[in-house]
Amino acid sequence: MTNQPTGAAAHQQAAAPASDLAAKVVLSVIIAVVIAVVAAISVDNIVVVLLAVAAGVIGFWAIDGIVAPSRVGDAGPMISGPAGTQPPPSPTAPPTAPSATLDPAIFDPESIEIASNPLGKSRVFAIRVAKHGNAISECEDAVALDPRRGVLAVADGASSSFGAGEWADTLAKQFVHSPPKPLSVGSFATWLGSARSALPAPVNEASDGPNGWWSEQGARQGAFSTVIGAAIMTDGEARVATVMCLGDSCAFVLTGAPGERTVRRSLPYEDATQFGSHPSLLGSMVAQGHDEPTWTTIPTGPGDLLVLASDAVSEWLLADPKRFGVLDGHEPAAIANRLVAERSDGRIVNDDMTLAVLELAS
Amino acid sequence: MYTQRVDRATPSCLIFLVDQSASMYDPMAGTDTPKSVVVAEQLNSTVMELIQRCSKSHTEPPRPYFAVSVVGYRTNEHAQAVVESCIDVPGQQGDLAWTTDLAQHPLRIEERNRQTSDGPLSYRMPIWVEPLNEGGTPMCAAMDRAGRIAHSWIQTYPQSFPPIVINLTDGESTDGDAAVWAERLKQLGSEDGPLLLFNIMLATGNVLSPAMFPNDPNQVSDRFARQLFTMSSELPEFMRTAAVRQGYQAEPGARGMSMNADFRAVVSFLNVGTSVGHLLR
Repeated sequence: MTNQPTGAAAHQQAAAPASDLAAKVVLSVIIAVVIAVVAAISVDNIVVVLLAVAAGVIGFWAIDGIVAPSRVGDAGPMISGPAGTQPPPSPTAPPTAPSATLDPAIFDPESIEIASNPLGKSRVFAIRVAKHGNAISECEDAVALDPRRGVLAVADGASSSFGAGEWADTLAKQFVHSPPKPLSVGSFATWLGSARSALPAPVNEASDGPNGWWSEQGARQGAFSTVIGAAIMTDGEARVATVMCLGDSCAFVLTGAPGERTVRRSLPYEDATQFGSHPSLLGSMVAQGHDEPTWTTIPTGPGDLLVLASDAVSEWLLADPKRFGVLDGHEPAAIANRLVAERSDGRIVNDDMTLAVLELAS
Repeated sequence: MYTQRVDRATPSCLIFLVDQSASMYDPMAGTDTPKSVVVAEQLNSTVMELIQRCSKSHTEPPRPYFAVSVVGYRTNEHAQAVVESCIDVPGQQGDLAWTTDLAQHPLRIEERNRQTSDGPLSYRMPIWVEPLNEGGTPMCAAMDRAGRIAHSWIQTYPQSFPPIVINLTDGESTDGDAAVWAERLKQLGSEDGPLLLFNIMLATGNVLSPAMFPNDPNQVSDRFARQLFTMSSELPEFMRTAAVRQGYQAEPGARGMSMNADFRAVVSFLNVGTSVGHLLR
């Protein structure tokens, strides 16, 4: 099974940027006319009228290019779907970026999910790949993003626990929906309590059947997961990434021009040798208590990349910093191809792989 | 060596050889319960624990990460060796049953209670293996059977963690020199390392403290114990670590053997010998 877009889908991809442009032009003209009419009625000064028209048009075009600083708002939808159906590439993607699709020779299309942001010019995307031999529905990594608010999270469920995928998904979504406050005593415990409450009831009808004994016993033990979350916030004139970290999923801020990026900050680890087999984990049961996360504020600049990744991908990236280049200017499918190829070659352990990338507006 | 993770593509194979000779009816050291009953109970707990490691959520049955075989050995009234599978579930391939099938087809499920720090807890205990004790100890025939199972497994899953064979007995072989068969067994192996053979010698009545995971044959007392030492594989490092965590002084080079094992030793031994869980990702 290939993932080439077929017929109507391919046509839609090609046509989408053109229709976007037409819609913007029409809207700009309408805004300009309305402002001009209002200004002409109220002010008898042609210079003011022209300035108003220019401000309206420039304002409309500028709005679209800004990743809003963190604020309360509705979660922006991410378009996700099976491989090959992702929305058209961002207009800011380098023109040299190859048109990538998932390579059917190395990919089980049932094992991957790519989500991209259809709104705005900022590159935002997430890739989740299940471990070799598993379907994406069995992936125990989770990712959540709100591109409009600049909030994203990755959680990595511990495979040896029961319901790990659901718990990871709950933690990631809970962070993006309402992150805990960094400097507020008890905020994290309250937040974790909300996540635990949001987890679907662990015992369902399956465990009442004669063969559901494993479900009953697994639910008693609960699930465990790492979590890392980040929010773009304003700090005076500057924008910073505030990162909450618990476990061995990592956050990276890459800075510099595309093709020449360097790692401005990497946490909680800076070296591949730091990964061990017993990371801090959050349990889904109240009785399990919890570790406190670490909070870090990282300065960011226009065009920087904020990257969150689960442990297998993080370890691979940190083992050779040149590998961060794979995140630069490539389409998500091309990045996914590379990750799977690296895993097939044994350079990434056979684990779920998750990556979330947000490019700050220039 | 011994680093392969356990997943669908590279599942793990565990073979338990269970002495079902008449002497297994004698009480287990430190208990009033026949050894055969203690062993069956602990095997059921072990299979349950393995299934638990494969249980991911209540929306799907446990995954097929482990293939398990429990082979009993005894002799019949004609002194002929009887070597047969102690488990029988639909979907079983020869002597091997996947955790997925085992989970859904226990012989029965017993309602039980145990005390916890939060008070009594009722739980359901699935049963796959029943105790049996009759005749002699045809250990050579049992090891031959394990070799056939393991050989076939390795053909199918050459990249998997190598098969683990755990032999639970209370006496010497009655059908020949088991050491010869053990050596043949240990020559099998996957790309991840040679097959692992662990032996546990169960004690009857009151005994001195059991010898657990020795790394020197001089640490054990008699000829038979030294033979058992030779027959047993060295513990891979992660299992040795597991043994240390259980409170045993397992030094580098420790063998997967226990002499004069009492109840606690059986429990610990099975925990260590099946601790492939950390490879489960």
